Amino acid sequence: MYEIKVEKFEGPLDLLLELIVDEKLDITEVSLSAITDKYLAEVSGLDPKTHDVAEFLVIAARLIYLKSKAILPTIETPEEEAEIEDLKAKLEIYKKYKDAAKEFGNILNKNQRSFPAKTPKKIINTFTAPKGIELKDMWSIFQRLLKDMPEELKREQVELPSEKITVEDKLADLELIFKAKKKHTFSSLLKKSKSKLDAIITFLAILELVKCKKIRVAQTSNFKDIGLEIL
Amino acid sequence: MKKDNEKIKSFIESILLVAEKPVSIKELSSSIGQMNSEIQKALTELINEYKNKGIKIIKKGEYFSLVTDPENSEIVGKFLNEELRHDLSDAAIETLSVITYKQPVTRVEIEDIRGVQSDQLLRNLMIRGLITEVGRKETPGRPILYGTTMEFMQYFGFSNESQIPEFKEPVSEELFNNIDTIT
Repeated sequence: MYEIKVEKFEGPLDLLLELIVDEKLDITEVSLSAITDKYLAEVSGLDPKTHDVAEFLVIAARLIYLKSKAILPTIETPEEEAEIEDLKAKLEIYKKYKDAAKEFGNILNKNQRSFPAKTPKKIINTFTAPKGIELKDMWSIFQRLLKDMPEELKREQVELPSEKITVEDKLADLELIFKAKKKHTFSSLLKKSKSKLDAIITFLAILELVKCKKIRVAQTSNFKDIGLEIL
Repeated sequence: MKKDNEKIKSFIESILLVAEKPVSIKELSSSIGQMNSEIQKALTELINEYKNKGIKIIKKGEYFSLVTDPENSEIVGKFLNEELRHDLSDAAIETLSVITYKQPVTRVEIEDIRGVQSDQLLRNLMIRGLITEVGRKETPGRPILYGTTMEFMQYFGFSNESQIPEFKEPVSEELFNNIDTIT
């Protein structure tokens, strides 16, 4: 973890605590007021680039209040008093965690770590063709394999359609159809399609024609056949 | 079917060895097909049996892991060619201590205690796997709740939560009683 900070304190609480510990004081109102000058000196030397100075100033204000109260005891206000109590409590709590962190540091410095069992990397079954094998070799091997396959595992040969219809092609077709006859029904157009894919493309092409305002679509009622007319 | 205790222990050992993550009692009991109480009993015995062995079963909450004895870390580290000296900054350790004792805890709560922004530190600790998101606080904004991980236990060489140094909440009453002695 990289933290480059030249200052030995990180935040206002850290600084306050450091000053109090340096003076061998406990966390009390009196000791807080005693370190006010030192705190202010540190804060005035802060680099806004590395520290959030505002956080430091809030506490500075409380310290100055404490100091002025020592000189003019009459200025005590309940609100400020509560803030001082709050600050003292916070410092006390912070100190506990800082002490605990010191303990953590000591433990870490013993370098006594436990390591988990290393699970071996999962064996991934990938195929790497032996050297010198080409596509045509693999093809002939595959053919041989198919031939030797038990009869019951063989499936009926199915011819895969190699048709490639694009919406553009279909649009051109439809244009011809509409040129020959101005009116058609949706079902009659679909009936012309040779396959499911062809039907889908036909539908898409019709949508395209509607969008381009080349044809008009009308339906007399729900689920009735749709009439198409070229404009 | 109730299985022999020794057999259950043997199953647990095998599962913990291959597990990639800490394993809970619940997971063990469903894999082995035994009651939680049987698993718990077997685990307690196993942990005891490993007392003088180079491997240990460590526990965090409901989860268990099979790890090397932290006292062997020097040798193991050398074998693994791993740097043992920790590289956490004081601020990171401090943040870790706050999370350890306050978990589940939100970023704002951590920052309130430390009096300084801690988001970057939290991110780094997360990447290191020492802390993780353990849930969301049901308050406006549903902030992330952070907690320590099994890796945290391993990093410190703790074998269970009772080995984490005890934390004493400060008693604020005492603060006021001291004033006279200082002046």
